[in-house]
Amino acid sequence: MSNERPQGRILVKLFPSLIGLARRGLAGWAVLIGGVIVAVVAIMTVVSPWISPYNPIAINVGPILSPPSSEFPLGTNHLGQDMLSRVYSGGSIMFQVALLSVIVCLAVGVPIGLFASYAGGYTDKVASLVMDSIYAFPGLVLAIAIAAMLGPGVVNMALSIAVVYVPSYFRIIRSQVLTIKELPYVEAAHMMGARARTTLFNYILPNVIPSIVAVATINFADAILTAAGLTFVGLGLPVSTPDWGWDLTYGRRLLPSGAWWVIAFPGLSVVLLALGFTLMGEGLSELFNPRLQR
Amino acid sequence: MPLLEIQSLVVEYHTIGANVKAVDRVSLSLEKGHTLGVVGESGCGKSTLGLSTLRLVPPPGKIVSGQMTLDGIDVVNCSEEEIRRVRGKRVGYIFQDPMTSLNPVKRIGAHFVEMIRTHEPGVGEEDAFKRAKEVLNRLGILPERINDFPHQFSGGMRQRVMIGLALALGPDLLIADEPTTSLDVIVEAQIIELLKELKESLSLTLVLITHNIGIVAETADRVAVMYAGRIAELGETGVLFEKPMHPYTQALLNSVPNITKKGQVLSWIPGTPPDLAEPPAGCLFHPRCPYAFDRCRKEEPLLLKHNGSEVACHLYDRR
Amino acid sequence: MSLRSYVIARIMLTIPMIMLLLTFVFLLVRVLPGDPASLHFEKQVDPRMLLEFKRQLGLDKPIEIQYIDYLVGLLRGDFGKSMQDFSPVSQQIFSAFPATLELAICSTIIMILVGVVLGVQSSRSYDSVQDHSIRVFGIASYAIPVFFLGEVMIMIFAIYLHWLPAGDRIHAGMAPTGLTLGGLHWSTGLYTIDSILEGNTSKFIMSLRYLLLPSLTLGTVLCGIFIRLTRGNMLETLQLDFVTAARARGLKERTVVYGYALRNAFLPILTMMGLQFAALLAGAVLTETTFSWPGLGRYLVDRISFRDYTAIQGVVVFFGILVAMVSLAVDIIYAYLDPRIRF
Repeated sequence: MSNERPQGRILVKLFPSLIGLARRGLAGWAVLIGGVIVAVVAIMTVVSPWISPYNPIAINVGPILSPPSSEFPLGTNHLGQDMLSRVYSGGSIMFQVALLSVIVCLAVGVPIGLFASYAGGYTDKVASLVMDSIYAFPGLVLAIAIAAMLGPGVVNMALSIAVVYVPSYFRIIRSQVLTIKELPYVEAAHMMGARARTTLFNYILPNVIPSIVAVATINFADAILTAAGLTFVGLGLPVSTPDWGWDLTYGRRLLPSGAWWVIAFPGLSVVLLALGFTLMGEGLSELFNPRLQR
Repeated sequence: MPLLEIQSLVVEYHTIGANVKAVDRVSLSLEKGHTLGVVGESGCGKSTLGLSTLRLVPPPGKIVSGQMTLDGIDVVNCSEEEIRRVRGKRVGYIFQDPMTSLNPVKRIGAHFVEMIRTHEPGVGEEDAFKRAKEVLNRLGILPERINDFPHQFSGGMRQRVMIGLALALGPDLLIADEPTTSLDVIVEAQIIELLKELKESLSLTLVLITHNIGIVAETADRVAVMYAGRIAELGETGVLFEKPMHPYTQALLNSVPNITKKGQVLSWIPGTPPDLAEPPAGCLFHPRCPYAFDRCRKEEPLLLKHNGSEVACHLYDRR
Repeated sequence: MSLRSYVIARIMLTIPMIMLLLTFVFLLVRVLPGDPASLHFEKQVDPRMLLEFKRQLGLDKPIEIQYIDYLVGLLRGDFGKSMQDFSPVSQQIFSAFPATLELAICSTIIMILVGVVLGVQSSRSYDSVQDHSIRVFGIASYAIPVFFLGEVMIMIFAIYLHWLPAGDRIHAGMAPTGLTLGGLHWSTGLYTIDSILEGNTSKFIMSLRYLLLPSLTLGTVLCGIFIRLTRGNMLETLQLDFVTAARARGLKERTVVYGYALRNAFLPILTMMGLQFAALLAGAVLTETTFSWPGLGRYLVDRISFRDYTAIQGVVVFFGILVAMVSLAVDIIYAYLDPRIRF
């Protein structure tokens, strides 16, 4: 058995990430499958202008409220819009909002987390207090409040979501920094005269990155769900842009009349995308931080 | 017919990346009324062997193959309900650490009552309590203490409670897994005496699992020496101690300091037990064996009869 | 640290948190582009009318005075006035709150029940298909937008199967009124309890029927974390010696799992309940909208469509204070039950 291992090692080096992931058990599969789902949806959204049979916002391309058929595989809605085209392109707003909110969170949450927890003392206490207050609050309600004040739009939605999620980044970075700060090799660096900035960027940051990636992925999932929620509640975007969230809202009203396809397909798309990100995120956090040692 | 018969038992632990054979093709049999000692270092698989007789091996451990018959019952293949009825009633099990084996929030009496009433549903609480007090009395524990919690007892007393629980329903077979390891030497001697006495008066069949060769020497009829999941040597106690055959047995016996021999230098076995996730080829003991030769590095020795005992070593294999 | 000093320290921590929250909401409604009053009106409005409007709501005063009024008002239970009809928001809040409370309680029960039972099952069949399916379910259920699940439930149970109603809390005019003894009137606003107080079984059953779908929806979406928590704790506990020893005595599996192992795992589940409360409220907002459940969440969404910013402010503040109070209570209870953990 020990004779096979050298070859095994070479194979693993050839396809490092994929095989490595699959060997890591359930968590690895979760990341793999989640990643594939996300990639597929993302690609679908990006190429939607080329693959959509109809213009997603063009009305009356077909009969109003017709069920799925060979001409309109996913049916049409109350405005005669083709649901298939709308499903292809409806994710783009969500992706934009989610991406923007993650970027803002990274740009704001990571530096604050790093500096405040590294500095310790008063700064850390104040920052923690602020972050904990936001974190304790029901996320959607806060996002609703902010979005209501800011008004519609991709940027505003992204900002609302970002404010709600910055504390998550802060907390995880803080817990990591506090642990790493005490490790011997960091102390050693200090004793050799390293400046705070160097320690922070060269020693602490690289170790914190895996956790940040895991949080960011889950953040993506939450952002998509919150964006859908905000749209559902009426705080979304101008009606003309194709968006799964809007289809869900309108689809809801059409449900009693039996037109289930208007809400079902966009709904499933949202679920699929959120699921993809969640699987990735959960898998990643399990890989980086195995909870159960067996 | 032997009370316990094990044939080619294999128990594996499946973890991510490795399958560890904790028990590898172990075969032995135990006649009624006899005492079998199972000795070996930590991690040699003796505890797993003990647990597997009652199908108590915790996941990710699994009985992969082999046969086990306990007084006629096929332990490996019988139903959950059947094996549950065997546990406690026909086989008593004593665990190593009585502090962690007793439910800390349950009174001693409640342990007994629960067990008695599970196996004999007709028994009323009063009667169950009476029986519990009788058992405890037999073991030297005052009956008034029946309502105490485990942490209120000393180590030796707790172990007596454990023994009481194991014997309360009158089983034929008693398996003791390191019963004295967590106790000090004086208490250990008392417990061993107690076990010997109980064995006599109750005509028990006993399996004594331990790394302490000394107690095996004075209590067991036969001894099985385990190494890395396999049996290295199996034979009558007197014979094994007088003329150990397997190099591991010899080294084990040599490593016990003898107070009567003057000027003795402490000897130990060089090296460490093998990593069962990536075991060496051939005989598992060969990296540490002073007599290892070519065949030992390539071929696994089989457990073969030799001079009335069984030994798994190429030194005795004339084929 | 003694219990008393812990409680005091914890309260000392909660006060600044609430203050921060209140201030944040206050600023949010005012400092952002445009002022709340003019944003309320879609079209151009006569400046004198606007001024009168502001005066009625206290929005014409300088910002510092507004802040003080706001804080003082809250101490008196005044959550502001609605922009729509100048009625006190607190009235609306307190009349809509019981509905949300009932939904929250029922959802919590379902969430814990489903989560714990599935978690235990998952831990018992470690690494099996059942285990993996349950784990995936736990993760997937969170990924489903609660309003989508709600619609699916409505579609299946209300529209196709006609088993359960969808929408509102009870048939019009049949709301239970509680118990009236002598001069005292007892009513909780929770229809299930009130109908018991009234002694009316049919109302009780009816209120349960209306409560079932929304609670099931909200409970399912949030149970995932309980599945994970229970499973993890159980896996650890089931490994412990006294569990194996109990099995070795021939005790029934059910006794071992629930009587021995689960007892240990329970405390963390209780704390998680407290932590999930915020998520529960957030989910309630969407659930109430989906099921037309007349609670605080639906009130909030309502006010949004009317651009009633002062009401929105009041509701958001109420939510914040509520969550802060609940997490304070949970922390204190937990500390009482487990003196080892203080911070």
